[in-house]
Amino acid sequence: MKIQDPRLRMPPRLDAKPVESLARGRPQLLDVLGDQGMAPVKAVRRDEGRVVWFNWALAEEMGLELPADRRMHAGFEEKLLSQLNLEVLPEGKDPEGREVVTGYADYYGGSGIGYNQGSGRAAFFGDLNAKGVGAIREMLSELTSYDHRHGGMSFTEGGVEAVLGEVNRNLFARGSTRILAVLDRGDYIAWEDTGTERRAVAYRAGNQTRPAHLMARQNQGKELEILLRMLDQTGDLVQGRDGKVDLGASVERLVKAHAKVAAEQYRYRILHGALSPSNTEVDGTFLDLATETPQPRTAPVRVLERGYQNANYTFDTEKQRRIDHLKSMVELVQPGLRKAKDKVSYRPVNVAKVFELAYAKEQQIQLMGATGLSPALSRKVAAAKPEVAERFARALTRMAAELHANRDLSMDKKVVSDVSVADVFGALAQVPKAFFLHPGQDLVPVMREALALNLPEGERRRGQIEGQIAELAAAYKEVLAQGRAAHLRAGGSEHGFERAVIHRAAFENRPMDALYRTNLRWSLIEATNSYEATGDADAFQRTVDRVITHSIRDVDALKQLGSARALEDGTRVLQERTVRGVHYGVVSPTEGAPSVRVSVPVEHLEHGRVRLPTLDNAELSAEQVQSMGYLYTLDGWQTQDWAPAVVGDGELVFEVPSFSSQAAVLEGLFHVEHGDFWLKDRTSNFEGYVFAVPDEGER
Amino acid sequence: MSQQEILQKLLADLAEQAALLERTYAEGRGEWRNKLLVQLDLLMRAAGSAGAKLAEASDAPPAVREAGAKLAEAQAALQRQTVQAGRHLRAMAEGWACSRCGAAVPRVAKLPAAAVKGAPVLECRACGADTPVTEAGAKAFEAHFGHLARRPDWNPETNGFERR
Repeated sequence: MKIQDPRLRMPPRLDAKPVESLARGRPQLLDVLGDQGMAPVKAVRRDEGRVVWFNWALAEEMGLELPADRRMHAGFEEKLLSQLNLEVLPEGKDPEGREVVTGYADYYGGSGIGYNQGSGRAAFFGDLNAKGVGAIREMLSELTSYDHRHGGMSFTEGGVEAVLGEVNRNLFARGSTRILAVLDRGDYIAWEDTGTERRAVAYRAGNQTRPAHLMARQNQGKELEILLRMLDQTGDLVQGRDGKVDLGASVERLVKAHAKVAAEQYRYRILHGALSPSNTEVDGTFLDLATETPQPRTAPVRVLERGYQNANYTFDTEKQRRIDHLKSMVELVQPGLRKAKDKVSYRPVNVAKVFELAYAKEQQIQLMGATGLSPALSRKVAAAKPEVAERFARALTRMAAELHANRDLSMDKKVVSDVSVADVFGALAQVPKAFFLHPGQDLVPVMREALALNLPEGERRRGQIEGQIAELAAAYKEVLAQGRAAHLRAGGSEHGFERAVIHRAAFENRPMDALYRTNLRWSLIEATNSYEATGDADAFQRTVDRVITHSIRDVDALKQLGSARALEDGTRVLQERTVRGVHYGVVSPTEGAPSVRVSVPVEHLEHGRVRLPTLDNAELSAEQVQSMGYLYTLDGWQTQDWAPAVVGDGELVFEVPSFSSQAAVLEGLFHVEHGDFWLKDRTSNFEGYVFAVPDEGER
Repeated sequence: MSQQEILQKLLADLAEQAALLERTYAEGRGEWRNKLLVQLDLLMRAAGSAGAKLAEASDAPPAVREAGAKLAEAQAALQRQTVQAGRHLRAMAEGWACSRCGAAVPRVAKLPAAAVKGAPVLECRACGADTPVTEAGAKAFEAHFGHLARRPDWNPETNGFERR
């Protein structure tokens, strides 16, 4: 049986390649779908273009050769543009001497694509999918609305896909389609109402397999063989003991994967907003993110208005569409099964039942995770004391479902924060510190205050809600008691448990305000305007990076970021990354306190002077180095600290003291104490590093 | 440094900080007020440093040197008044560890109301408990904040301390 552990967050299945080989060759998806499943597309490279956002983290995972300071130098940008920067060559148009590159667009069917036959504005070049590369006539119908056949992609949409790809990768076990680069084509999308919008192309990594591929007319009769290859690619193909493919077990894996993603969505308050067979991957991986948004509380919000079908586009209830897609996939492969009896065994799967059971279990685990228990502890509690997990999930979801009726539920143009009566996840962020610091106190008033009730005095539901608060507080105490007992049984300490709960809950339950649809769009529009006015592509990069940095929430997935190494004395340096010329890492010694190490390379000059090659070649006198420090914050400048510089071997090092289980966003600048010198990242502080120190037992 | 170089650098610093503050305001995130204070502090330090250099610049006219000296002096006074606890948190945490959980990372220094004098306590960033500073920490507090603490009307919150 081939199992891929999704928690490892494996990078896209791409071979390591130099930049020069990007966007070339045959996509892996062609092997999955078959020749009939994709249409060749002719493209040429444009002369005009800029890289306005580049995903350094993904590029590292892909093994690309990158500038050491992780900045977009002109030479590197040129190299990228010489490989990417493609546009579809319209039929009958002369390439004018330019190299013609062959890409592939995938056919798909199902609801939500109008009269189109598949990918109308995206094509694969090698294993990169260029979204917004131009109108792909083979796929488009004149009967489809203009919005779905112009072939372009706006800057805003490119930014949204870039941001959410990285955030989803952090939040969801199955991850997300991720963007390697967003390019400015130097032209505009012309809208039907005569308006225009700056046009971008997003290069997506990986090979997205969609339920809708099985619904394409071109793939009729081949649904089973395609599904088996999809399952093989996602790591969900189960081989039975009889040597045949166990399709029933494989489908169950898929169903459970979708149920888990749906439970994670609830836990992080994320709406996809447009789940259709072509807007999700076969295994639940997030795809096509234009309508995705988190929300402050737990209201039944939506982005699209679909009248009587609104439930399919609404927070939480949209999960029904996952069940529908999975059922459709199973139905589509039935005819093929009869012909493949000797290779594939299948016992019928009740998709809805498996999904609902898996969802209920997974939701309990996710919600216990939101109290600050690690996934491992949550699973232990759920296994040993299922009644505790059930009681807590019931109390929390019941409180979360208390709503004010007849209020606007659309997150399209505003943030919906007044519909839910209680902020249940906000409460879980705040309660642990008080709970542990004052163990004898009555938790009900603490919980009540933390829930930030949006309930006028005298509301007739008061009494009922007071009862719910008491139940939630009691269930919460039970969960933490069980988690604590399991932690101690595993050899952990009281303080180790407290720290893990306090800091995990505080970090993971913070509202994702920068990511709310209207906030994100507004930031991206501002960044686009700034880029258009000044030509400074870095402004767009910084905006996207900043939103990603401030929206990462899953501590365990965060721990997987960057590289790791062990020193001779056993100390581990984790989550090592270079961000905009500054190198960061979490130092986790076998004994003693952990720390975050911030460093910049130095070149020594005469008279004790040094040059900082990754910080615009800044030069410092010996005196300045002596009084230099890193002025930083871990909480948005509510508090600040100062780390003095230590001259290391070819680097200046600044140590940020830490402790087990700390998770935070680091921001700072280098400053000389007496004030005559500072080093910032142009007009920003140095940002972009978010870290999580291992828990007690992980060190 | 020549007068021109000093002024050029000061103007560049001003422009850079103005751009940063403009962006901070535009983003409208909750942190803008805290960030404003930090950036303003940096800016005033840079101005004070430029003033001190101008006061010594041989190519500067006497009136400019005098203005530079006044600026440096005003900045030094401002610095004494606005010194922030965060800048000296490490010094105040010398030898310190949380009495509850043993972590040695303070989040913030806290002081009681003005009427009650004494050395600060440090709040543990790991567990939130308060623990008094050590003798070395009390000395650091006295060195950096003693001149303020002796004033009956001092509000420690203006210098980045939280209330106990």
